[in-house]
Amino acid sequence: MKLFFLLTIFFSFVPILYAQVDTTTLQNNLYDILEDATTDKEGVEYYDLVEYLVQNKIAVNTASIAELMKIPNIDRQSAIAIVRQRNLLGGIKNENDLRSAEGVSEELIDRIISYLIFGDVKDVSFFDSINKNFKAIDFTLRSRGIYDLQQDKAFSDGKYYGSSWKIYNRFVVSKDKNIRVGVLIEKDPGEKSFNDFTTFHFYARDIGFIKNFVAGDFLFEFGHGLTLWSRYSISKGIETVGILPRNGKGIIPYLSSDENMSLRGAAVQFSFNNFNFYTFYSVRNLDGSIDKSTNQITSIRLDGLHRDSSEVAHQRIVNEKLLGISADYSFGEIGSVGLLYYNSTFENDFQHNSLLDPSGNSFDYFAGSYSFTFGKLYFSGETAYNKISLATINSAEIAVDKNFSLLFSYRNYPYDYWSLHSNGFGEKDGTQNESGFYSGFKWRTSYGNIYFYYDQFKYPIGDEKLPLAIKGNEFLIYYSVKPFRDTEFRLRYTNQLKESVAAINGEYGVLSRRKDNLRTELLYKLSKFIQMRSRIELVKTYATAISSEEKGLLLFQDVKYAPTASLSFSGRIVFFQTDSYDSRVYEFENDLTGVMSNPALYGDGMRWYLVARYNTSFGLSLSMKYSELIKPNEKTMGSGDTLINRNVDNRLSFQLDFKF
Amino acid sequence: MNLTIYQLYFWLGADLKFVKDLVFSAAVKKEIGFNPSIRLGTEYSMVDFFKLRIGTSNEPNTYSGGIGIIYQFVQVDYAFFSHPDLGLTHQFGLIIRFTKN
Repeated sequence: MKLFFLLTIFFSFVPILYAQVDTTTLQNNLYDILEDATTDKEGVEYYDLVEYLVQNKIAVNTASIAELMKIPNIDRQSAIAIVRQRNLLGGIKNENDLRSAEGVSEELIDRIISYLIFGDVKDVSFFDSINKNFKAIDFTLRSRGIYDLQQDKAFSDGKYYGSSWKIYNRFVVSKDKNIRVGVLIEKDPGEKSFNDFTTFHFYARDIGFIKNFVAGDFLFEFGHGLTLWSRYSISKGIETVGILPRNGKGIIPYLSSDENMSLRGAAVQFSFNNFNFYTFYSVRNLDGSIDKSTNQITSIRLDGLHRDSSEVAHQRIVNEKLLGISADYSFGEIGSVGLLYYNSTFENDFQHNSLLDPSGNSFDYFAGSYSFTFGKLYFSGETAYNKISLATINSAEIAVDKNFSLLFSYRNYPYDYWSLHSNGFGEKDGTQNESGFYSGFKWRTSYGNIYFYYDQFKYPIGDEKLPLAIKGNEFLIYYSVKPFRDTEFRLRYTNQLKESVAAINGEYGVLSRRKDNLRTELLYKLSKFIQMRSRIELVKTYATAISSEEKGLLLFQDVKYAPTASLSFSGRIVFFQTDSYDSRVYEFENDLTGVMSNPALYGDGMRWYLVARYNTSFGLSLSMKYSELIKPNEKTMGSGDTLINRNVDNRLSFQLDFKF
Repeated sequence: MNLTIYQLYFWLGADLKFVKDLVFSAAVKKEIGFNPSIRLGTEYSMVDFFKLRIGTSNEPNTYSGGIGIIYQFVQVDYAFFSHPDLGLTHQFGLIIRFTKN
C-alpha cells in the first residue's frame, strides 16, 4: 500500500512559505511531554529543570537507580534494567550498548538519550573543582525581551505603572557539576521595575558527606508530592503509565521565573551510602491579601503580577517560615522508603470562611513514602498527615514485558487536608478535596503503540455555594504508528464527563458537562532539512441541564527547516473555529528556548508564527519569534483590561544566549 | 485600524492509494467566516491514458465527476460540478508537462 500525502495551503494572494525549526532533541522531547498540559499555564519551571538536566548529563556508568530516576518520565523498571545492563557488560560504552538492554524500549531510549553521558566518565570531586583548572569555569547569560505590539486597554488607559515589555535576564556561573551560582531578574508586562522579581542561589555538591547544599532559592520534592513539591507537574496525558509513580528529586536549586513557587533560605543533604538525610529552612514573603480589621490572611496570590496600585498593595505581605527534615533509605533494586516532617508558620492567621479554607497560622505535616519492586510488580505511594486528616496515594505497576505495562492508582485527599506546597496527582490542583481511581496501560505492538487511561474522580465538597459531592470520569485512547521511515501518524481521543456547580435558572444545581476531543496528526520529513506536522482537531462539548452543545475545530500546518547546523526556522499556520470559549482548542507552540506557550484559541480566525534561531561558532545564540492572532470578523479582541481595539494581536520576542 | 481579509483559507488533505490504479482523496477546507468543508474523491485509472473521477463535498453540498486523458506530454481534463447557485457547470483543463523524458 502506498500512501501519498498532498498538503497544500492556499492563500488568495501570497503563498506564505515559512518554515522551520529548532531541531534540538531537547525541544522535540519537550514538545510531546508538555503538550499534554492542556492548560494555559506556562511550564517554565519544568522546562528549566529539563534544560538543567540536559546540560548536566547523568553518567550512565556510575549513576545509582535514584539518580537515573531523576530523568523525566523514566520508570523504575527501566532504570533497574539499565543498571543490570551495565553490570552485565562491565559498562555501557555507547548508545548501542544501551539499546541492547533487556527491558528498555527503543521509545524510552529515544526520550532519555539527551540526559545521559556514556563511557568512562568520572565525576570530579568538589575539592578538585575548587583547587584545579580555574579556567574551566562556565559563564552563561540569557536575555529575553517580549513585546506585545498591540496595547491592551489597561496600557492605553495608563492603568499600569510600567511598559508592556516582558524582560528576562539570567546569569549562571558553574564549575563542573559541583558549584553553581545563578541569578535571575524578571519584569512582567506592566510592572515598573526591571528587577520586580529576583531569584538567586549558590549550589554545591559532593563535599564529603554533603551530597547537596543550596543557599538562596530552592525547591524540595518528596515522595509523590502530597506535602512538598514544585508547582508544576505534568497533567494526565499520553504518558498513561509513566505519569505515576512520581520520583521526588529532593533538593533542587531554583532558577525559574515563577515568582511564588520556591523556598528561600538554605537546604542541605547528607549522604551515607544508601542513607540520605535532609534539612531545610526557608523564610519568604508571598503575595496575598490580609483583612485589615481581623488581621487575617484571606488569600494567597500566585500570579506574581505587580502592575498597578491594587496588585502592589498585595505584594509580599504574607510571611511564611518553614523548617523541615527528611530522610530516605534505598534498598537498591528492591526499593526505598522515605520520611518527612515540616512546619510552616505564617505571621498571620488564615481566615476560615469555608470548609476548604485552612485555619490558624501554624501547620505541621508528617509524610512517609515507599517504593518496592517484586519481580514484575512495582508498588509505590505516599501518605501524609496534617494533624487533622490523612491524604494518601498508592500505585501498582505491572510490567508484563517491555512492550506491555499496566498501572493502577488510588488517591484520597480529604477536604480538610490543606497544604500550600503540595502538588499531588489528580484531576484538579491543590491536593485537597478529591478521591479517585486511575488505571492505564501502554502497549507497543508491531502495528503501532496504544496508550489508554481511565480516571474516575470525586470531589466530596463540590462548591462552597452548594456543598454537595460531585464526580466525573475521563478516558483517553492514543494510537501512534510509523507506516514509513520518517513518517508518524497519531490519533488521540479523550472523553471527559464532569459535574460542576452552576447557577441554572437562578438556582444553584449540579451541571453535567461532557467534552469529546479528537486529534489526528501526521509528522513527516520531506527531506533531511525539512520536517512537517499536520493536525486536525475536533472538540465537542455538551452540558446536560441546559442542553447546550458546542463544537470546535482546529487545523494547523507546521514546517521546520534547518538548512545548516547553526541556522533554523520554525513556522506554523493555524485556522480555528469554535462556538465559544467553552469549546476552545489548545495549540501548543514552539517558542524561544525556555519559553512555553499553549494558547487557547476560540471564535473564528487564524494564528501564525515564525521562530528563527542562529547559533554562532563562539557561543552566542540569537533567536526571535513573531506571532499574529487574527480574527477578521471581529472589531475588538479580549475584554476588560486586556481589550484590544483591533482584530489583530501580534507579539515580537527575541532572545540572546551566550556561553563563554 | 482593523485588518480586512477578503478571502483566506486553509486546505489540508491526503491521497491514499489502496490498490494499483485506484486513489482515494480526502481534504478539509476552512475559510474564516465559514464552516469547514469536507471533500472526498476517487480516481480510477481504467487504462494508462484514461482516468475516471468522482467526488462529493459538504458546506456547500456538491457532487462532481469527470475524466482525464493523458497522451505523451499533454493531459486534458473535463469535469462537471453541481454549483449551489449556477446548477450543473462544466470545467475543462489542459496540462502540458515539460520533462527531460
